[in-house]
Amino acid sequence: MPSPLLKRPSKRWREGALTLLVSAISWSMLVVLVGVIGFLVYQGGKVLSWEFLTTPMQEGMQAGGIAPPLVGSLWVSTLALLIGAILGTATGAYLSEFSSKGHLHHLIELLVNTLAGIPSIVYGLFGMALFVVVLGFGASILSGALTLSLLSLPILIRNAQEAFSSISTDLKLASLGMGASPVQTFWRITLRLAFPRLITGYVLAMGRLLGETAPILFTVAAYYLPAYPHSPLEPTMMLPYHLYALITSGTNITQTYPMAFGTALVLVSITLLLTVAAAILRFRLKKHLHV
Amino acid sequence: MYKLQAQAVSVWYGTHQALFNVSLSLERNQILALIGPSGCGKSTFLRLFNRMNDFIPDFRLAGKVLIDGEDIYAPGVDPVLLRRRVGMVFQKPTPFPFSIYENVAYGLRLQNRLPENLIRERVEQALQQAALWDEVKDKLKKSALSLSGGQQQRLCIARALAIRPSLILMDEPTSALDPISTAKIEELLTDLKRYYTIVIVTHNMQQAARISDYTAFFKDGYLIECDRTKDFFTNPKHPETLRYITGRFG
Amino acid sequence: MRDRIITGAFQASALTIILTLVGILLFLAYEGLPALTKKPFQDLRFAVHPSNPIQKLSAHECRALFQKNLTWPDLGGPDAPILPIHLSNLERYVGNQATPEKIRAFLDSVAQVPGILMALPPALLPPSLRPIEVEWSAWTALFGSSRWSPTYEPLPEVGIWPLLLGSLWVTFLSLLVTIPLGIAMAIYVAEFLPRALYYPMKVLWEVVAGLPSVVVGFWGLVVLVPWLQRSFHLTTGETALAAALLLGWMTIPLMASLSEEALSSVPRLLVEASYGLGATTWQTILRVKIPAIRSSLLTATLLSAGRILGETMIVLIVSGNAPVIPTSPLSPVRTLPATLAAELGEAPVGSYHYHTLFFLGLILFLLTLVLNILAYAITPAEKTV
Repeated sequence: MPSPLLKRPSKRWREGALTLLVSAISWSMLVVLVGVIGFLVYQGGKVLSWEFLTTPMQEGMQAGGIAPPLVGSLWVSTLALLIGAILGTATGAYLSEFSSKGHLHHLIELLVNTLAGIPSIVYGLFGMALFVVVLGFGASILSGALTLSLLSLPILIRNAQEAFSSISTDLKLASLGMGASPVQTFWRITLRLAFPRLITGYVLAMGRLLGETAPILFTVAAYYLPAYPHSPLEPTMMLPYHLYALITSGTNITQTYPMAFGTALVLVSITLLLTVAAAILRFRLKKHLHV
Repeated sequence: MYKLQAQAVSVWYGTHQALFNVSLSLERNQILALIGPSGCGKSTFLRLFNRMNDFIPDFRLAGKVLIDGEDIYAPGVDPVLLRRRVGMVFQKPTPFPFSIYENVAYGLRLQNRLPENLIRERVEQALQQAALWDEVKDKLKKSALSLSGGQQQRLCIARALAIRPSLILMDEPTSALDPISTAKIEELLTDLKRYYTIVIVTHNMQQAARISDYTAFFKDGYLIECDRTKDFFTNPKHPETLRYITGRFG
Repeated sequence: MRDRIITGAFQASALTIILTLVGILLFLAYEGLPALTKKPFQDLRFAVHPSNPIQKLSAHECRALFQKNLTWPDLGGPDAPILPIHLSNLERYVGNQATPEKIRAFLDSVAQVPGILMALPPALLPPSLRPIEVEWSAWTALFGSSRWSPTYEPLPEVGIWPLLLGSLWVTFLSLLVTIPLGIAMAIYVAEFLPRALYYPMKVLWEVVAGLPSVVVGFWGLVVLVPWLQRSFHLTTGETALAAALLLGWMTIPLMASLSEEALSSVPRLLVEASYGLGATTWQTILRVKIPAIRSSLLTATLLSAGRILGETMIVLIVSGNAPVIPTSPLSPVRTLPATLAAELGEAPVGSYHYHTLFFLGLILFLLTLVLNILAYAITPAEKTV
């Protein structure tokens, strides 16, 4: 009789099988990702060129390049990030450093969490109703940027709040003890030391903003406008919407597929770059702090 | 005139009372040691003098706290300006992750633009007063974190001295340090007495006996006894004091 | 002092949060609630031949007449064929170059027909015809109909059930993908993954979660949809299943990272107690750890559901855009966000369609709000992936 202290062989078999299962599932995500991106690289690489990135579209979007949507996306997203970064960092500072941690503080935190879960299309609806219609900016870079900035606020606020809270209280007290006012302490110690972490958050947010489609549909994106914007009150083409337009509208959809692949590749490459850059930055930060 | 005075001071955090009717005075250029068991209120008392308790929610004060005859809790008093006249050194060395030079210069830069050469002078002076100059004069630009624990604490002292406070508060400044660093800092304090008035919280009674001119014993928020150090340790007047001293010495 | 201005500015920025949420709610309600109070044919009048005894019609009956699904006799009207005239088919009769006189002449001539049913602005209505009342109940229209045809003139069908059920169906199917795979990955990372690969794996998750949904939708359109079409012998691969597979996959990182966090914070004492009793790794995972994080898993599910519910582009591209009540994973389907995205651009501002879409937006907002509130009520965990 085998000793009861030994595990029964059948149990061990099940252990290994389960481990193998979850392992396979986990790594399959990488496989699928590589599959998706690889496919886009393969198909999109065929049209990718310097001209593709720097010239406007021709022959009704069947040829040429994607410069107008690329430029438009950069304009709108950068402006959105700027607005969001200022408001978000200020609010994060309030929550972390300057609030009396009373009712208002908890209300704001609750609202930030609530806003984080609101679908981007609802932000688009709101943006359209407020900026485009009521405030009269029309479909424009300004409307789009304001809408996107609201969308990015919850992430940026949380990022800022965590960044500021992570600075050790001892340092803040030491600064206050020397006669620095709370604002001086915030500026010279907290903000300065939290800066790398803030930047990481901004980079990540930028990556997300560039890929958002729903909020820009009614607030800024133009279907066909192969020119570069001159003022923030003009609409402009946008990369994600351009991709969508290429694959769903137009008279000859399969003809525009090559351009669609190119657009998708550019869009996903930029997003990938920014996401990975943010991850690397965060990794470097973690290592740095452990020194 | 006394340098600092507490008159019938009571402190509450919300409903919890931390200090009960404490009165004491200290003259200039003296060292006062505050001793007592954990939680007796000595740190709270210390922090009355630079209003660091203001940051704790639900802090309430009754009685008067005076520095150079002025009530520092009077309405209209700016705590920020107060803290520039009173220096503080904490238990754990907390150098900023900047260079040694920038650490000491930090307090100087808070005020109006002082010319850089004046700042450099004051940094050197402060480091000398803190007995750290010789060890760091060649590496002022190096990160403050590269210093040893004892050196970091002396850096924090230099940092506090740079703004030329008239009163220095120290909250167990050597409890996190090794004996040699502790000895160096104790030497330092006896020197500093010439220019500054110092209040030091310590749980090390030998330290209190060694360096202070006056010693105050706190227990459960009450000031049990305050006397010249020599008299305090050789002839305590209160039975509680006697019990505490002998208990710790024994 | 300058300090106070700066602190005030920070506090003011915090107030934008309040303003935003209040603003969203206000606008959605302001533009959406008129769907309950207004009528789509506010500017029109319905009229019949004076010999027609009918005084009142329900919206449903009237529409059925226009679509010729009912006849006059069915409702007590004259035994005559229906001649429906409204703005959208007027052009067919008079051409697109008609002068006002020509239109008036045509309308007057047509007013003689006993089976006439006209829906026109009062200015155009021939005086010889007798107006009738058409009843419109917003609640029946919105919640009692299973058809969504908001652009049908003059009596749009705005039943929201196809859209609502479409959303719920896609969310349900997606969660079938997200929950098991997400938990499996969380277990793997928390228990078996070599520590050196922990950070790269988290980065992988962030990358997947950060993929632009329009790109994933595009890939799905080109690769997944044809594959589904071939494998299941469908007329089109654009189905709820396609959307669910893509959406479910994209939401796995959220589920996985929340679950992994929860797994890692199971108290050591519990774990050691289990091992001490001779349990294997997997027995500990399945019998101790997973049950211990039940509420966190629920929270993660709710948050994932909220994320999926609000997703627009993937659904728009691959789910077939058919606003009908779904019957199987292989039916084409339309969700709430997709409807908003697809139709808002076409609906004139202030029209009934416009109001209905904002009403949909309000419902979507409230749905995700409830999910998020539930999630945070169970576990106040905060994480963004």
